[in-house]
Amino acid sequence: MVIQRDEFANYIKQYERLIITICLSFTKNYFDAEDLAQQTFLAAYKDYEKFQGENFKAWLTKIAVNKCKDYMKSPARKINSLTDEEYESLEDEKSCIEDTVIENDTSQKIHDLCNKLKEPYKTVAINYFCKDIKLSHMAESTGQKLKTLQTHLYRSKKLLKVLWKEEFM
Amino acid sequence: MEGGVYVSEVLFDENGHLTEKSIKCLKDGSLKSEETIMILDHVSECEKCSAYLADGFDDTELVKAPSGFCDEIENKIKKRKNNEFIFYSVRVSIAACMALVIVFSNTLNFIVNSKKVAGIAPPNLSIVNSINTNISNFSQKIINMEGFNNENEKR
Repeated sequence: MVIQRDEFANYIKQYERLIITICLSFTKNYFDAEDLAQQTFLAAYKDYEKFQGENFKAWLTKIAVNKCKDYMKSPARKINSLTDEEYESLEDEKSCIEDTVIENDTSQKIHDLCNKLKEPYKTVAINYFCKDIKLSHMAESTGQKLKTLQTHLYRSKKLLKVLWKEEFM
Repeated sequence: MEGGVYVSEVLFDENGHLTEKSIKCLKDGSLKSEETIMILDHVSECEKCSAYLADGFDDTELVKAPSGFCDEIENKIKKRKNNEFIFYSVRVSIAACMALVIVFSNTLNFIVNSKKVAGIAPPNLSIVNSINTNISNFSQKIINMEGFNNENEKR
């Protein structure tokens, strides 16, 4: 049984928040959770023929749990150091002390961490995670290439994952 | 939650499934790393608990997803399909090239000629020969008998 891309896109929209939340509950890191949630949907799309057709939500949850299990047992998870080059992509601590409000609210945490990045990663991260602007829309409005923005987002996520560990774990 | 037995009693019921308490602890982030792994190990194998966990979150408890989340996954699916197609095309091309090399080179002739034809024993025809001799003797006798009968009739 092969699923159509449109049908699967509906499933993503329906369950994206649940799967990110489940992954966040286990990993306690929003950016790792978002990454694992993506892996979950990709695995679900690939293995859709294995789905027995009873409870898609539970099946998806089980895939997410397996992804989290692999993540939790992975030795790579404990490596959270940035290279010197990557550290240069972060704002100096002093420049954002006044902005750092430690709240137990995920959106606030995401916003605070995005503000710690230097340009061009800061704008891409804030637009994507905080202002809900899609990369394709950013490309249209700024005239930048989509590929460039995808690369900036990829690097931002890498930095944000490590920053989250340093700040909140 | 100190001690393995106590932890197990709180996180799992008498049948070994997740409890309301375990979902609550998971939500408020109060589980230790080894407790989290215990839950993950169980839920990854248990249909009932994966359904229980999936239904364990209210809409108000869900974190937001970036608006480009779905697009990112669709791009990755598209990219993966393209890669699979390229990989398939490369495999087919290599197989076709190898087939052409085998057909147009002398490989097949060499394989056929390298078989030892001399090793095959000739068929044993002695029985066939003896049957042929018997049949020809018998037919000669019939001819002789016919000739003898013919001469008798003339007399």
